[in-house]
Amino acid sequence: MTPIPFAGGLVLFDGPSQQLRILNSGAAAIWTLVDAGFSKAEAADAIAAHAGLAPEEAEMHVDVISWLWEAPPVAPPAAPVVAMPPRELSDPGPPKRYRVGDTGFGFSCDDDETWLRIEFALSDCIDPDAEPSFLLHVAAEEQGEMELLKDGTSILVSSDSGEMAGAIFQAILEGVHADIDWLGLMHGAAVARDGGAILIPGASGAGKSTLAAFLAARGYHYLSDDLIALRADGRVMPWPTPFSIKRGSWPVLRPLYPELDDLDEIHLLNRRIKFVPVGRDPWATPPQPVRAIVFPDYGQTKEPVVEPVAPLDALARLAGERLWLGNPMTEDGVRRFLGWFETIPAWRIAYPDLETAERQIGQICEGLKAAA
Amino acid sequence: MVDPSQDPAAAEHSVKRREALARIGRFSAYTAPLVLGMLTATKAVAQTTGTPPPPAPPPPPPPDGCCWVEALLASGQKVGEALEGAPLLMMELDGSGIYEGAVERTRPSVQPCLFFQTRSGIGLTLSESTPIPVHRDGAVDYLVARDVLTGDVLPVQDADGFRWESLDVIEERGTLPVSLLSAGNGVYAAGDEAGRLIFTHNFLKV
Repeated sequence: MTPIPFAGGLVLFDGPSQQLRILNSGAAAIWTLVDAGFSKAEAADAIAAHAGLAPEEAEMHVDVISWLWEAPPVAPPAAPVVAMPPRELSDPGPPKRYRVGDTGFGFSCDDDETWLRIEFALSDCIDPDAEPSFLLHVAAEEQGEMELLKDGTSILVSSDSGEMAGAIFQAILEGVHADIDWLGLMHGAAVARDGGAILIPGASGAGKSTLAAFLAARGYHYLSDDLIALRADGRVMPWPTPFSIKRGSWPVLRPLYPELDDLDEIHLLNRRIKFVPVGRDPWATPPQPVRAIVFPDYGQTKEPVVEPVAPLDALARLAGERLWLGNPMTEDGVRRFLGWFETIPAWRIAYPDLETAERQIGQICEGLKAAA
Repeated sequence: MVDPSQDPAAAEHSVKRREALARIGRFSAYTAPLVLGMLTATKAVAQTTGTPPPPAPPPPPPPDGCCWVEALLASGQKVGEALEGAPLLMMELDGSGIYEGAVERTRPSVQPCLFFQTRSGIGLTLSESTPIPVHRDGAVDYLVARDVLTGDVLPVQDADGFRWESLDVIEERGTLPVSLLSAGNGVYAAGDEAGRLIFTHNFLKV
């Protein structure tokens, strides 16, 4: 384990198991002592003195936390990515052609659900005349498994169409921006204003797509609905796929997106969704430096709240969601991401309606501008 | 007793310990230890819509209690990703203390779910049939989640440590993928936010 101090806590990077663990100050202190050769009893004595705890309380803290890193890895280590030799594809059918910026590519898919996701996500990029620079194909394998191939080389095998869609997006991003050094990718939406991006990460259902669609209609530049791609210099590359708007948000967004009434309703994962096209223009938005991270917390009965989120807590929120720091993850890559992440302020906003959220984000932007 | 001045290895050990003591002073003010989160390199980044596809519903689901697959354990791992052997933070059945345990068996399911939130904002999405320890009249009682009321007092764990706290919010969340984690006849902690956990019982009838 490599300890990396971060924002008053500690991030432990374990290369062999490809895992990061994020420790708060208490866990960081105990880990540091145990790692330096303190017995549990000695560590408890030191913690009691350091934190002013009763000896039995310090002992309980050491006991409760030390088993977490004594336990075997909780998930099997990632299977290494093995470069397979290119092979003949089993009649994937004619790939559909797309274009992002100046780069064309082809995509074909044997799996209906994955196809449905990608077809709508890339609907603004269809270009039958595009000259493909690379070909992606999802082959249906045995027992529900799928294999993603780029120019015949295996990239991922998975039975999860969500994971597969993420890998397809990553492959397209890397194909379209072949020379870019990536800082990381994260699950979330992003918009921009005054030359700076606001990242809106969050669990599915947290309201990030609805909020991004609302802000885009109110003058913010739209960067992404679902995937935040960060360049090494901390700028967000646009990935403006159509807004995926779930049924509960149709009424509130209809005044801003009257086309919602005419769009087909898609049934995905027991959810009723409409994909609102955004056109080609947002794809040409230049990469934007990140100004802030906003964690949305929508609820009809929520009291409006804007509160800062400490970097350690913000990192934990991201790690609990979906965050990609390279495969394989390296210590250098992790350090680089953490160094950048610690400089980005984060907030949680609780809001009962979208107008309130817009006002809250506006205040955050104004505050940042004033501070600058 | 080894004299560090005579033994280079002991001297090095002594220096390492002194440095460790100095380093702990550089962390933020001490709070109860928590693993706030965990990240593995294999996670896909984007989903385009919603959560991963729920596993096929089992034939007539027994009323087992379980947490939403996206909820987080004390280790920071998602409930839906926990395998046999994964560490759990557990509570004595009588609520007298907490201890470490491990997942013995898992089983996916799809069940009607509720969202619980306690007074300090600790939240957990869990199936309606999850047994919950409730502090009533000086003793710990076990109720299924659908019978728990706002105002009931539940065991929680966060940066301020283990305590009992009243339930403020109960919301219906519809049918969601959940995972039954068995750890003996035990009570384990999980929460929708990292490090902010509610203890629930687990039964696994297979």
